[in-house]
Amino acid sequence: MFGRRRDRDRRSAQHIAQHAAADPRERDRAAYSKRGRRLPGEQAVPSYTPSIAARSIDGHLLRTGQEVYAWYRLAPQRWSFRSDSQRQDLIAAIAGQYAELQGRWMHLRVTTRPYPIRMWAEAHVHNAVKRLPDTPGTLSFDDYMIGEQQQLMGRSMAEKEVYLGVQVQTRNMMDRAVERAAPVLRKVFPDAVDAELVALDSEVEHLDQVIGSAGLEGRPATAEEMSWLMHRSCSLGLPAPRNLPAVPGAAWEPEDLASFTDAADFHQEPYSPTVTVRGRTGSNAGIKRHVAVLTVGLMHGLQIPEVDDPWVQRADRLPASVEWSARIYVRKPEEVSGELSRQMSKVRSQVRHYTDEHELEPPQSLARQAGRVLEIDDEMTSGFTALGTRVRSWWRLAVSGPTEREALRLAQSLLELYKPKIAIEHPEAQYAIAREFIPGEPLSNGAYLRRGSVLWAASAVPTATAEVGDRRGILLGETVTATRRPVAWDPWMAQELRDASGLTAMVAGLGAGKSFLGGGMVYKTLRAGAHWTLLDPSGPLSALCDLPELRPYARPINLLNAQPGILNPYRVVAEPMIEHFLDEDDPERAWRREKALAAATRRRLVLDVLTGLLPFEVARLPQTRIVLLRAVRTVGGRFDAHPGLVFEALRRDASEHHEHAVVVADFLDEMRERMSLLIPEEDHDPYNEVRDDRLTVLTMAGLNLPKDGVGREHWTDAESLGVEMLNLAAWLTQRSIYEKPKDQRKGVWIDEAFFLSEVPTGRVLMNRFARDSRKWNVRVLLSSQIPADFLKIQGFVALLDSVFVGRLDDDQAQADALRLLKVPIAAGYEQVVASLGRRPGGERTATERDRAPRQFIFGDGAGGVERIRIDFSGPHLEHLRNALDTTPDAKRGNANGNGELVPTDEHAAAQPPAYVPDEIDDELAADMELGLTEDEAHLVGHGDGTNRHHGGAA
Amino acid sequence: MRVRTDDEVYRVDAVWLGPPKATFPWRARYVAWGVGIVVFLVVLTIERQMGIGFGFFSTAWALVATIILTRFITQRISHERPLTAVMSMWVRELTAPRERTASSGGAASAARIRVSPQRPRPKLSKKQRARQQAQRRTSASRKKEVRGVRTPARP
Repeated sequence: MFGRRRDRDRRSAQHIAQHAAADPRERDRAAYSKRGRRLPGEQAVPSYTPSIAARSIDGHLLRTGQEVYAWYRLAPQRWSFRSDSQRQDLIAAIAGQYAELQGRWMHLRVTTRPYPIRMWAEAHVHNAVKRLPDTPGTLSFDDYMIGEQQQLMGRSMAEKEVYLGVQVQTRNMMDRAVERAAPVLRKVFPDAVDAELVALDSEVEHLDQVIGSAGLEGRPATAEEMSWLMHRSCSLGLPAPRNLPAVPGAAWEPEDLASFTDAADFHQEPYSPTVTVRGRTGSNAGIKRHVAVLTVGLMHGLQIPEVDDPWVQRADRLPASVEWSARIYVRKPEEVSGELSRQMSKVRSQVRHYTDEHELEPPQSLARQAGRVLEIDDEMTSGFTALGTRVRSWWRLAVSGPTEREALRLAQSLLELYKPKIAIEHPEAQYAIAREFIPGEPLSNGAYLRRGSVLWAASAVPTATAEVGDRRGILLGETVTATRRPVAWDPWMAQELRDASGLTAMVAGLGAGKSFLGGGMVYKTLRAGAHWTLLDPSGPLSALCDLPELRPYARPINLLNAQPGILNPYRVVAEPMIEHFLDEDDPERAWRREKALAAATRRRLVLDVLTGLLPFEVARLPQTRIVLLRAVRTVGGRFDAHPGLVFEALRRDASEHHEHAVVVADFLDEMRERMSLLIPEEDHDPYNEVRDDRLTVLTMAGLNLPKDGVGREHWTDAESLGVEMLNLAAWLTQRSIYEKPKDQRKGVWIDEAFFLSEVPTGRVLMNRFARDSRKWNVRVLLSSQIPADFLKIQGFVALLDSVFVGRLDDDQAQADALRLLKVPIAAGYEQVVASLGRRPGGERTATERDRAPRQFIFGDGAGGVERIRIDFSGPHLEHLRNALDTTPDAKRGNANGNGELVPTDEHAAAQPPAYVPDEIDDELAADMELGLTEDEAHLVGHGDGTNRHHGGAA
Repeated sequence: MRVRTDDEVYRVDAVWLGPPKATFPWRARYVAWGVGIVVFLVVLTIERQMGIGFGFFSTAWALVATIILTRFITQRISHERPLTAVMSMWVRELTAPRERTASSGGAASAARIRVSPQRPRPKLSKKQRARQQAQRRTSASRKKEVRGVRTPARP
């Protein structure tokens, strides 16, 4: 019984091994005939020889019969929106690294990993803490996640991975013999087995260092990465396996390599244009792909950073993934100079043959070649850098398709893509060249050899990618520069992980898709558990509150119809609570300081608002500032004060400016009914009610705002009132931050944020945002049509975390936008800003709406800047798209009405502790911080500086 | 930064125009001359093998065939694809694995496996058999009563 079972085991072991073995039948026979004599069993298991050259993998070292290669995974490099000098530096750094590898072979492999949508979804769900409860009958969170994943699944978006294998050493007979005898030797003399790799240690360390430095930034490939690379190479062109065979903890023995080679087999007909790859195991079993292998032919001179893309990166423009395999041999200078002198004498003898022996004109090309030889010789001998080092290289590309026709179509489009500067050839012997992609395989033949300097080889920059965003946030769309990669962005990652501020500027012209992008962002983050407060003066965003899944948690408020006192400048600045300072060293003191600051901010705000409301002639008078300042000081900075108290204080003014104070009070009283929102009615403070909403949209539909580019001196009364109200509304928005727990993810979006640069307190607000956005975990989104509005605020660019720039038509605005992005100016990127999301060709007569997705340049604050296309096109988001469609359409049924303020009594506001006058130095310090000292000259100067002007009737 | 390959240097078209002062009307690369000589020898050998005797016309035809063949071969080679590479690619084309359309094996069948219900036992001689029977009988009759175990009732 046991005997039989052992026999059966032996046979099954043979079946496993027989796939790639040369002739399994013969071995079968041998095994059976010896059955009787070989009872102990193990010797009868046939030894396995992989059908590929690789023999074993130890860490990142791959051994074939003849050589040892060390494999590295290269870091992706940003390419777009960098200055040319930065790009040149990168190329030179890579060239320097290649030059260090003189006398070695390199194997460069570019492969792709499909965007791990499943992993993104997992990370996103884990990241969505305290998410919105599902409303029955609407899109649930699960369905939303499924929709998001399906939207990405429909597109083939792959992430490029670049690996570089460097030859460490060739192996001698002894090494091979030791490896062959390893099973026995391991028992007798274990050190001998590892001796080969141990001897290489210092060599490998040197290579690690060379490849790891700036430029390539390679790090030794992990076991999982080696497995991935082997798998992708051995089943070239097949879809990525859904699950890889487990990575062993120890080294890969020859038998283990069968898991790669068995996954697929290659075959081809004689002189067929493609090689067929047939999957055999795992998720690819039975799947057939036709792979067309191409090679890089002759190449013209390229202007690499200035005009042309890096030439390997160019292939990323193809909608399908392209695999690259390059064999590069870095030559020793003496070898090259010998060859050059040989070429030179060849040229000379040809010239002599033409002129002396046959009295003919030699062809022009000979003279040119002689010149080039001298040039190369000069390059190699001049200078101290090794950038003149020469390489011999073979560059192969592979594209695959389910049918031969499809593969050839892709090959053809690749040819077109590289025309006219680079010729892409389609050689015969497809099978042999396809095998070159497998690490460890030898070069199949020497055709299409490309010679050049290391600088030329480095200018291929295969690692150039278009990475932006992160891997756990909401999906915004995809990059549209050289590569197509989905863009996910978590607005709270900067604050939670990178200790950066949460300020985001969004700049785009009219109709460039600002509200669409912002609205989508708000919707998606709301689903993931954030709380948002939106200030949208024009009002279309209140449509978000009507979305069925958000309706129970959203509240639209039209500030112009709200209760009196909602914009009370004393109330829009939140009163600090001592609970929020418990993690400080001295909570009491910090709280007092903060309270003093809040009081000073209120006084500053009131002063600012009232000055802004006064006619320009009155406001600019020095005594106006003096009396107002005195009145504001008299009232103090209590949260329960209101501007009405300031008017009374003005009337009570007993100084030498008493008359003027009364005049100012009269002016302000005149406007009293128009500023009813600023002054609460008796016993009715709207702040007594507090609601916990996830989404609050503050609109001010019908507010009179100045037009773009109109100076302050030309604003009408109504316009300046509008700006002041907007400013107060922004403060109100900001206040919402402090009503929620500190760690909760909160968002604030202020649309039309241009006024921040127009009112003196704008900067104060900005500072508060910058300071508190990290501490309070807030993402502050500021959008405007003119980037200069943000640049005018001193120090704004330094505080900024991320930026979205949409299409802008004005030259100056384009340059300003680039300044916000911290992208080099006057390097040609202005054109990019102008062309964002614009359809090519004249569309003047088109009657169809341009529904193409809008494009933005997105700077994610972590170093990535890319051009992205906003994509909320999944069918599950259709209702969102309809809600955010702000383009007017007369044919549409009925427009969405603005919501009304619907206060509900949930629970009364916790009354903040009564105001206690603080220590005088705290107060003074706070005053100094806000520029609210008694220094009248300063204030008057400030008033003049803003250059207010009473322009026109109210 | 202008980057370009060094390929131009290596694309020297080495031609032999003929002996000095006697320029041939055609221009052929050295490679073509080399290939031509080999092909000519091969063609001559084939002619001999086919039993065509050496003569003016046979040699002239051999020359014509050589020129045609050489042109055919040299059209396929260039600086990009040297002769050796083309030859090796040709060999690779011939030796590449083909799709296996003929099936090997097929449905597994156990029809030809002989099955017997009993395994063969070593045959016993008469003496041994007798002893075995006797042993069985004695062991059955001499059944001792074991304490604690009930003995089955004898028939």
